[in-house]
Amino acid sequence: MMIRSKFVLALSTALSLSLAGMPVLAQNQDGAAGAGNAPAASSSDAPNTGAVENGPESVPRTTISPAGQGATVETGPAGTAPGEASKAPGKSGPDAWMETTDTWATFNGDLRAQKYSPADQITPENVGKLKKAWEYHTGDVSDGSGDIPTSVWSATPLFVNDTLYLGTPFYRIIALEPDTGEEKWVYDPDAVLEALTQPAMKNRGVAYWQADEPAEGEACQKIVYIGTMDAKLHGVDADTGKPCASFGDNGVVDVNQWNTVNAAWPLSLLQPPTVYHDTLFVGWAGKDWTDSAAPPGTVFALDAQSGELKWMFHALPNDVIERTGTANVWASMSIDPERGLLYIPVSSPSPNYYGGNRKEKLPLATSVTALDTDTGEVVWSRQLVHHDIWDYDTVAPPTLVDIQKDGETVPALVQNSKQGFLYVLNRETGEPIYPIEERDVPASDIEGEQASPTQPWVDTPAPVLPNEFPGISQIADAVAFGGCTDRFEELRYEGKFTPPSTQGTLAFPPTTGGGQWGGGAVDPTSGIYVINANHVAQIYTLIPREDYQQKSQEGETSGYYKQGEVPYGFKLETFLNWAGMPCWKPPYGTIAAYDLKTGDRLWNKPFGQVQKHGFYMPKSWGSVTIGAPVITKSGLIFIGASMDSRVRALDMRTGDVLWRDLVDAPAVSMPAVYTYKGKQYVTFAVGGNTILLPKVSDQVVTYALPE
Amino acid sequence: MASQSRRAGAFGAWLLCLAALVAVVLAALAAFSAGNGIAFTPGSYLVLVTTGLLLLGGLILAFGHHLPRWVVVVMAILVLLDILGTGFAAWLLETNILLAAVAVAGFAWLIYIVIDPARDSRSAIAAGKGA
Repeated sequence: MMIRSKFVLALSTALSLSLAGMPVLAQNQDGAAGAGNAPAASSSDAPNTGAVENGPESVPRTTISPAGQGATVETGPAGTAPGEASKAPGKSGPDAWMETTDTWATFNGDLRAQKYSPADQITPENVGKLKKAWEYHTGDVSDGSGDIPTSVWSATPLFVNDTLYLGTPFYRIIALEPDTGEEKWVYDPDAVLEALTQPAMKNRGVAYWQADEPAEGEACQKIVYIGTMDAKLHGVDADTGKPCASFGDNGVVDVNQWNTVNAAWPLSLLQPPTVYHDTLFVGWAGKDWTDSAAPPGTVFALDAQSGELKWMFHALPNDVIERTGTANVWASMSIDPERGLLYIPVSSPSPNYYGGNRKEKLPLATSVTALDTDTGEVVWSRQLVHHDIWDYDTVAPPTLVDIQKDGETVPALVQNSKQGFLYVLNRETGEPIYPIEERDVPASDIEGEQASPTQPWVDTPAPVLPNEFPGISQIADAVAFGGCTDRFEELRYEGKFTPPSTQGTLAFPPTTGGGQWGGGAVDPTSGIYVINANHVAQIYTLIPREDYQQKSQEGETSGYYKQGEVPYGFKLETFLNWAGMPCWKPPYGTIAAYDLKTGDRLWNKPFGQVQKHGFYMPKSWGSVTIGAPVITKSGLIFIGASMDSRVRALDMRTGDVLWRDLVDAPAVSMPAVYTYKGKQYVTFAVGGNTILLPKVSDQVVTYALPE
Repeated sequence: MASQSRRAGAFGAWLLCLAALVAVVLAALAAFSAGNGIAFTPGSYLVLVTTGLLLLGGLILAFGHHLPRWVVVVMAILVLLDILGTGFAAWLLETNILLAAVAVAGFAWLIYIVIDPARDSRSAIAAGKGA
């Protein structure tokens, strides 16, 4: 009995740990937020015919053009308007400096978001000998007990220019020697350390650019960029850490200057820009749970050297932005460098869980969309969720890879999703490579709401988690004396895409489920795609405005969301029993591999371990994860992400764990794999996330084989 | 034979104390060694407390020959529950070395139970009273 109670105690702790925080995860990861889009009132009133628009005096003149599918693009002084000749003629194909095999030069390793390293020194046979080469602590960490909000650090380290670059959650840039961890320089922007849009100080790292032929001895031929929560984009010399005077205003571009519509909060620059052909592509995050009319989704293209605006892409039609907003891009993006296409994962419109104020077709919301990198025009777009009322933001950059199929090479992309589907599309056209069918889904029973009668559905490849709710956990139900079953019977559940309701709707997967912002990794030679997934059940409850009497609007922590002026507030809660145990059957987190040539799932295994109060739960339960895998040529998968504060190497053929090590907190990021002076290294930024575990860190740890 | 049993029984109790002492040290290391994945967690504090109680229980058994039999029996049961609970917690904490120490304590408890010196002494006392 004592054992049982101990077990139950440990269990409940562990699970409440990971899952009680899921509402926070949803919002944090969604980061959904609005942003500044520049079609100021005058812009939105202007016909989309290429008219020249006079913005506020401080804002340079822009030209507004239709960009396709209701979107618009504003061309800035440094940009090329649709139909114009490119202002950067002669540039085509990938940037040579980014294509070297030894580096990890972007957030996702490369522009195609493959998260793949051709390094093969560390193999499945010798990975067991992997040792810590060095460790560094940035000093930028907060557990929230003082004046600074808690830190959430999900930075990918960049290795390029013979230097390892890191961005911190306090928005400093740190340059380290890649083989020793010795500090080269530090840049401190003296950023505002306040949770202006997110509940925590967040950062996902830095971006790097260099001139095609850097002039010797000239400053800022190579630049490192970091964004801040208050929308400042800093550019510093990559060799010295000194601000680049030619970039913006003495090294700083205030992106918030373009935040002119529904500007309830600043456009937080938590995700580093995507860099291609002397252009920075910048998305933003905010909060889409507080307002109905939020800043509308915008992607900025800035000149990498001057910070001047090239173009601004607006995903929402001008005629709806007085009632809605967001549909922004808060995750990273990918680029096909040969085709000059930018792939953007567009989030859901605001508010997240009620769409009665935005019944129009918003074709770019919750979509994967391809833009012309020169002009910002829509080349193609595919909506993944119609009339999104589940906060199923398209959540990660699509992974670009050529697939050998039926004797042909098909230019493909793989888009993961919160809803669990993997969409495999032709990246030139957006057409499905594996079928996507429109399937009937349940109707909404909410007055004023009109859910889409159908939703896109994918059977191949198999979804990353079951389409159906896995059932009630007998242990959790027993502990709750049947409370889980009783609650389940009260809820509305008619399968995936059951609309939110006033009685409470069981969402499986919910906004925190499926594949998250890290996305997947692919081995381009074998066509094997790997992705981690969260198996989470949450309850969506709409609350009539008159009953919505929360004393405080702490939506990001309490699970209550005001949703602006629409008729319903919202409550998001994870489906737990009184003891904090998940009411659904495990696993809670998995990792799977797919053969993109056939669409077959090769293996699918629980990944990581739930840990609560120090106790580790059974491996068969897996763990909710935040972060992403990377793949090496030798057939290894490196991944942190799990809540048990371990980093692991897996065999790509089987999914078996071949090596693991303990780090200071959950490594909620993706590692960087690089080769320096002939030696392969794997670096993890270990930041922790209180959603997973009340443990944060500032650790940077690098592994290599012993001499 | 009776004296041999007492010696063996004492050995069981003292082995239990020794194992518990080692477990306390290991639990303290687990609780306060930063970077081991479980330091400064409620779970590690819990096993520190339970191993301390195990040591206390072992000492009572080692020195408790003259305690009423029911007290000894209750203590032996509590010690067993402590061993099982601490062992399970150590397993959940994935501290194998602590689990090993607790396993030794369990073995010592078995020695104590199988060769119980108190039984002989109590029988002798009862016989002396003409019971």
